[in-house]
Amino acid sequence: MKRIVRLLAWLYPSSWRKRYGTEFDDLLEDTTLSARDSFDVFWGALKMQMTTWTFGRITLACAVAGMLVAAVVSFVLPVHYLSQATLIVTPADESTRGLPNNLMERSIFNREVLASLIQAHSLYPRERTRVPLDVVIDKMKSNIQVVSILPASPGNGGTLTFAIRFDYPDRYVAQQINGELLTRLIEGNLHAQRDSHWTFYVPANPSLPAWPAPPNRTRFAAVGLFAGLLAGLTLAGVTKSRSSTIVLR
Amino acid sequence: MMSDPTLLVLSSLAGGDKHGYAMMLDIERFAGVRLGPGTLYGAVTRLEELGWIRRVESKNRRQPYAITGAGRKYLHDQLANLGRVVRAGLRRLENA
Repeated sequence: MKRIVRLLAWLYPSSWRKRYGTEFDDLLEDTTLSARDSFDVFWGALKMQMTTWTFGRITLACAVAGMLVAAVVSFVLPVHYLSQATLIVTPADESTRGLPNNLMERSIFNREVLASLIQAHSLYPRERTRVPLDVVIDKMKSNIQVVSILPASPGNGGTLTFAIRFDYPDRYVAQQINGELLTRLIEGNLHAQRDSHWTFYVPANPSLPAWPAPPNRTRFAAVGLFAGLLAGLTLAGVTKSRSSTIVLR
Repeated sequence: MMSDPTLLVLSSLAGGDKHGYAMMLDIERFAGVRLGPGTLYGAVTRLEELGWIRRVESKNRRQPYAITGAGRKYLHDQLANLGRVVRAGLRRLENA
């Protein structure tokens, strides 16, 4: 413990160490040190650094620290896999142009459909032990994406191209469930042929993701930078106002 | 329990010149508070900057400190204030 605390003592500003370093080391030598003392010395060094740093330096250091913490968090987050299928939807005539939103809602985002999928495939086992099924369904909803990747235009006769994605911690399950979602969508279209007239074509079946989907690290870093900046401004303000109060007293 | 390191260090030095380790032991004895090394030297640095304590020449390897006149006055004022609060609080507790 003594060695760790001695190392932590080197975190004090060099100007401080020049003046107090020898006697501080003597004090550490005399004292029986605990883990609490190592935190105390670390915290003391940090505070001492803050008093010698300028406002801008504190802010900058906190912003960089925030960004680094966010970057580390983005790397230690649990992995998840994104399976993707492509679906081309062609309306039978001009009158049925537009997004088949109702169909999507009925076939993919329907709570009963999702509940049956969750139960049949034992999805989200950990969440199901902790929260009600309704919350798990909402989570599953948030893991499904239906994205228009090629919008309808007069040139392509109103054909729409969608990417259907499902995000899950297991890559095989991600693919399997994405396949189920696609099947339900196609079946839903067949059952609803009376009021909807779309032809579905699947050029790309649900993929088996080879690599985990990376979290949006740029966004993570940006959020970390912003949070660090705010924290830095606050800390610098507090530190500087305290030191000026002491001088004025 | 009093835990303000500034007052604790000044109170310790009011009883005579001491180096860091002696202050730590003294404070633990009279206040029941163990100041960590970082907290103690944070207070020592601040108090020396404020001119409330000063270094004392010593042949010993350890550096002793002494309370200055300004430090003594500050300590006196603070303890007097604290005493008023303590007395008022006790009186109110008795009357409640």
